[in-house]
Amino acid sequence: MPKHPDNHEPAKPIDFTEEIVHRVEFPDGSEPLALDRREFFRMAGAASAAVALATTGCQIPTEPIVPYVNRPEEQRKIGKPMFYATTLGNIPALVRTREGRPILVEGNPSHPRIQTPNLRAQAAVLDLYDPDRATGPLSVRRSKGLPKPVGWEVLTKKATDALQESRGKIALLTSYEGGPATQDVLKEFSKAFDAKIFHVSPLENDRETLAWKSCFGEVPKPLPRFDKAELVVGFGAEFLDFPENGMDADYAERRDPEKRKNTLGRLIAFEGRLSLTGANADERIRLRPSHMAAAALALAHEIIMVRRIGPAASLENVRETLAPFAVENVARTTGVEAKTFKRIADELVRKQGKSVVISGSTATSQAHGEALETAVALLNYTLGNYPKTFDIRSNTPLRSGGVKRLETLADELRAGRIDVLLVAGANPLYDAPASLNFAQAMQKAKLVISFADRVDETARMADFLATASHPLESWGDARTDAGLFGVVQPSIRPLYDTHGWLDVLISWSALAGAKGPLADAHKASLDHVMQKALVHNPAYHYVKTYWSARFFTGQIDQEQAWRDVLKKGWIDLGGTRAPLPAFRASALATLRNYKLSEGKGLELECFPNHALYDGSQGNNGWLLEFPDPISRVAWGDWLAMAPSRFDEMGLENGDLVEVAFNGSSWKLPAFRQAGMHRDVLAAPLGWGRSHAGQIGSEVGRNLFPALQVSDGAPVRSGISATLKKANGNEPLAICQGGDVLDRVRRPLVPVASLSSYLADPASGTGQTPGGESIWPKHESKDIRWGMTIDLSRCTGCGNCVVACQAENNIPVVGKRGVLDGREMSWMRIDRYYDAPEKKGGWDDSVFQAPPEVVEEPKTLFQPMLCQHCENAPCETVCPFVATMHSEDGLNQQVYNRCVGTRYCANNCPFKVRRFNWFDYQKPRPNLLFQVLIPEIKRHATLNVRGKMQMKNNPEVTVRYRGVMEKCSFCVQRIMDAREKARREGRKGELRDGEVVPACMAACPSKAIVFGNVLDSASNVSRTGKSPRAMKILEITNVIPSIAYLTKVRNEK
Amino acid sequence: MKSETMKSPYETFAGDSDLHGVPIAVEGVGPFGGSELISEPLVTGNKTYADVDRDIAFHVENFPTRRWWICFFIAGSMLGLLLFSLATLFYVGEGVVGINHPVGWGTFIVNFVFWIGIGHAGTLISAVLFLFRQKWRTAINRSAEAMTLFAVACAGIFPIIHLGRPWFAYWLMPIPNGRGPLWINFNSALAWDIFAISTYGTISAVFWYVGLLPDLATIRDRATHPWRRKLYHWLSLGWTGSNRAWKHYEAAYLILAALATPLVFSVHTIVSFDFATSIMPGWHTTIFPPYFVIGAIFSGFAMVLTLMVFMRQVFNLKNYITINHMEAMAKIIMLTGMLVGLAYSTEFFVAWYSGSEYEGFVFRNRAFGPYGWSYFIMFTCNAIIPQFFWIKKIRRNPYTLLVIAILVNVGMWFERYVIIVTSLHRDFLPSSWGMYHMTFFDWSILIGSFGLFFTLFLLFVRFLPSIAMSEVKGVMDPEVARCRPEDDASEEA
Repeated sequence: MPKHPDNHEPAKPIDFTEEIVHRVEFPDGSEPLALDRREFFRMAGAASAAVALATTGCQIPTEPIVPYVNRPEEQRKIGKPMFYATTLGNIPALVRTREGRPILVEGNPSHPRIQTPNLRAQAAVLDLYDPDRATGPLSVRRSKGLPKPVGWEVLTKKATDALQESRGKIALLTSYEGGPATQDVLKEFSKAFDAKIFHVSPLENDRETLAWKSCFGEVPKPLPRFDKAELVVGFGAEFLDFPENGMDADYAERRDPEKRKNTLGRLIAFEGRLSLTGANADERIRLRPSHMAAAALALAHEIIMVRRIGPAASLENVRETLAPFAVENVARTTGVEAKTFKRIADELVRKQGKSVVISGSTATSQAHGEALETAVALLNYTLGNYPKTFDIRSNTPLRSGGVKRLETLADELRAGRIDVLLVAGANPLYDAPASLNFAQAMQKAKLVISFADRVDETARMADFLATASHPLESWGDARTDAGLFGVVQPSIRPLYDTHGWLDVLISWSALAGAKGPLADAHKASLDHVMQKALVHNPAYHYVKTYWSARFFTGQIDQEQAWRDVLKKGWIDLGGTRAPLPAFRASALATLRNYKLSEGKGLELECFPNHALYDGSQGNNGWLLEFPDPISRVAWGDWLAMAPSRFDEMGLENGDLVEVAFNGSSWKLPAFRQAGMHRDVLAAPLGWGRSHAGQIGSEVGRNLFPALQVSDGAPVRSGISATLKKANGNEPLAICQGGDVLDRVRRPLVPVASLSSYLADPASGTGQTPGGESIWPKHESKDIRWGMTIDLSRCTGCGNCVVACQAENNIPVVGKRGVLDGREMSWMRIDRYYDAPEKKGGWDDSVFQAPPEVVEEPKTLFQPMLCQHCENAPCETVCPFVATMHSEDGLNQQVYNRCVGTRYCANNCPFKVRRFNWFDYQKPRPNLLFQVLIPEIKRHATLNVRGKMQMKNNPEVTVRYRGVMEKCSFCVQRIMDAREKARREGRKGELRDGEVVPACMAACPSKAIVFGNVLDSASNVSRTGKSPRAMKILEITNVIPSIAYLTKVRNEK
Repeated sequence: MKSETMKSPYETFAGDSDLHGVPIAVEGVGPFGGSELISEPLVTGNKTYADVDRDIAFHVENFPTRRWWICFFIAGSMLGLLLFSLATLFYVGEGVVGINHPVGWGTFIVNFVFWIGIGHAGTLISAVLFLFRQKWRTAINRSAEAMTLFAVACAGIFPIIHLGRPWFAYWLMPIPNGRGPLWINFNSALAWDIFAISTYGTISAVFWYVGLLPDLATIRDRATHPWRRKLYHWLSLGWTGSNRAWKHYEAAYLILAALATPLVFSVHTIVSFDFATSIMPGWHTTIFPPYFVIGAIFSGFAMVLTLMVFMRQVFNLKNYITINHMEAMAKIIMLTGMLVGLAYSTEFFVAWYSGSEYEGFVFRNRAFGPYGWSYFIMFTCNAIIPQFFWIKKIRRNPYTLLVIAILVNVGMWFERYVIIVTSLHRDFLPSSWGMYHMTFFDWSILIGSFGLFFTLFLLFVRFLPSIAMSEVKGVMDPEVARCRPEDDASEEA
């Protein structure tokens, strides 16, 4: 009942429990002030306290502060990542930047061929912040005394004077291939100063090109397309170890059993050591590298001479050339059964035009490399593969190696025909064979200037270091193999007083009097600097002008076209498909020089390390700590030996052995490597940098100088060697415990042969079921995240591992840390050797890697990360509730809540939880404790020197010591997508594919699928419902959210 | 007694050499005139009540002996090592010890379970044996209880120092907090541990202290220095020794004994849940609770025995802690040793019987894998060596007793090492198998915990009566002990 005002009620006593609010209104319509007396006093009190504090205790900050208004425009989007398209080496990439700093190298999804960066491209972001980079130009004085800083002006003066004076006696040594504009700069430079340009690359191999030219003449060498090949026969093939041009993605496309069924790809590998490619093979035949060509020729003989297939049969002299390589002969010499050759020949004949025969760079860099290449080309030609399973583009350049050129340069230097030597990217004092004696030759030059980013092995014997910017700081262009060009675009201003090497080259040329485009670019850049106070970068103007003139001629708005390219990062110039000429009979002459010989003695193979490759990124903690996918060794080199030989010598992993070859002898830690040919030894290249920096120097041994040059190329395999036991042991940092998996006893990895898969798509997924669970099920409303990993697609390359490390701020723990079993990686790729079926089953001895398993192993890869179990065993045992289930199915780890009992890690059947044993990401300056525990100093060296912490992803907490961590399914990306959905008014409804964890984004073979399993239309629920899907360790009843899809081997 | 003139059968026992471990047959005193078996006296040396006070209070009232100082110096140095190690550990992080992935628990939890196990004997001796009216317990119960307390103190530090962030250990307490609505996880066995151990520690301390009251009063009454008198007066809570006080005291003691008895079984049961409630093969077994309790009693008795051998030697208490006491303990060790051996065998049987690959593998790996040596030490020391106690000579010789008791403790330390390390180091995924190597700090923390234990024990024997005087008097033959002529004479004088 409403109260009537007239109704005279007696005054109510004041109820003090009721809040009395004096409402004040302001004429301007601002908020009414709701303040009672007490509140007023409270605020007044707080305000005066604050004033008192501010006037007495606090000071105006004395650090220099950066005004916000002067930042680049896009940086104003605080808290949001910006992406820049660029090209790293020849890998197109998007660089994710946050608040102006690059934090992650991601794939460029728009690129037609290469959508994911490899390990080294991903790790480039760490190199950018490498504290061992030189911060400005240095006067090195060929290491007479410590390097002294020198101004750019002084250096420019010296360099331009030298360029002018020594015209005609100038050489530029570079490993950068670059794109058309870069090449043009070099051409112009060479023209202006009559300079000689020497392209070198330590792992390039002239034999491939020579063989190709002799087979088909001066035509571009086509690239194989594995997505079109049903059968691949590899001779020491390495296309999955070091894929070019999207080969890994193509290969995986062929390995999808659901899509391909009967036309599933099949890979047969002949090899001496176990490579990643061989580990993925359906059939693997061990063979010494020196017999590779014989094996290829045996197939050629069988196909051409016995079965009279292909046009080559009519070539003159073919009969005489191939006759010694009849299958029986080769079988007798190599020890491979004749019927194996015949069977493979059968398969190849059946798959004419649908197969690829391929060799690998290490295999062809042997004395018989040309014969091998020729045999491979002959086989492909015979089988009619060339137009069908190969991409033939007119503008694919013919690769040419380096050592021959380096040899020429050394000769020129020694002859005194070079006075000024400029070195860009190349590091011959690290990676050239010692027989060239390049160091001594280099001393003959009057002036040596290195454009390295640090005082590396070569730069320290130079006069000056014209410190080059990192590729992420500089302009340029690049070429990816099949007619695609990319821009190299900086995503940050140079961190230090450095310039891109192209910038410097252009400027110096212009200042030294070069005319034409060099001078124009220099002038344009200077004008630009005057106008906008930007960085002097003539390379930008050069590339832009060159591209506009060449590539955008038809465009109306060239400026717009340039911008589009910058945005997209690449341009496809197509390139006409040129028909391949007929195989030249003269090429058979090469083969005639190749004699089938008995394999005698040991053969050493020096293969590029999977992560380090040529060692040029040798100071990168992520790469150094990356466990080799096959040996699983990190932080050092090893000598891989066949298990039988290893056992005979009575060795333990890490025992030093002395291997003598090419007149030098090396002590290397021995490693019992499954699948090695008994007479083959293998050691990785890329280690042993002496002047890489504080992280990578003196890790392992550098075998490059020990290589011999033959026919102008270093011999990297088939090197005859002797081996003996040496004293001592060098512990190997092996990131894996047991190697062997007996799937009958432990069905952890679903595997099936193609025939059994076709008979029953679920074969290989059988498991012991768990019992009833006492735990209530978690309720999820709309979303439950899940993942599937297709083991048929996964090649074990490890791109996901580095992507995860970069995305989630995972620290590097160093060799000691790995030895102690404390690697922090949230994602790992378990490598198992599949125990063959045995009558009566294996007993426990199977885990000791018996010879029956590891001599002829079938390798399995299993990416392992937190399984986000439904009944997570970690969640129930944490007394602090630091790990719990989210509504959307994530097993969350709350760092703030974690006190570190480690019970969760103990109770995790997958052992994916990682504990912060130390403060990895904090400098610990206490001297006493640094002496007691030297590791803490090393951790700071590896993770937090200089600007290193700038690499950290601000979306992810940097963990403190004493807390547990693990894969979060990239929860920061989930939250980001969710926020975006909310902003767009979708109320948390996420589209499929909107959340892509770092590992999935980096996977070249698209093996990882992530998404909402409750959305029946999502990709992940489709793959999750596949009969191939298996959730491992069902017996424990933990119910993982990750399903592994059967690896289907194409075998009977 | 039939005849006033007949001497007490106890009077002839001067020391260990007179004891045989068998009852004495006294002729003609049986109910039908035959012989009666009387057990040998618990105190030898024809001690009077006054002697008891003198002998036992002596060590509290006099400046410590040289031997004590030597022991104290050694124990103190070991404690110093512990403090140094902990300082390093707290500053640098858990990485200073050898634990890793997959072995997330190493020294800390091994030592924790070891010390908690040691702690069981004290309460068992004082509570369970009290309830079973085992009079021989009186000589050893005080020090056994003290040992329990110190062992629990040693054990108590490990769950804290093993944490990654020990400064937040208090988060385990279910106390109202300002950390939001978060509460501890009652599903976690580690949370149960907190309750179990704190309850056990509290009850043990109260039980021990209540038992100390009459003796503290004795010390007070004997004190000559006013400060000593004041201190012990305060400590003895005004004990008067009146009948009423004794009545209440005995009732309280009985109740506390009844309360403490279930704890003997509950604590190690709950500690075993730390393992049994996990899903790790080798841990996830139902046998763990009884197996742990038996193992705890086994190791606890061995530790008591070790201490007794030293104590009677160093403090000249051979008349109170006689060889008969030690033989009684040896018998219990032998029994529990066999039970532990049975548990080991049962585990193996069940692992085989379950048919589980993972379970079976863990046990085979335990015995024959890379840590087979530790399993061998464990099995030998725990299941085989105590069998020597079947031989009477061995169980009645202080030196053999000492050796075997120490070996049993070594074995029991390795039992925990085996359970924790071998189960974790090779579990489900062969890829994640690893090894655990103890570092300097693992060892120093282990040694340091012994330092802490012995330091506390030495302080205890220095400042408190290490044998329950009042209870010992209760089990002496009043005929012998009441007085001796010379005492009477001196009193009269």
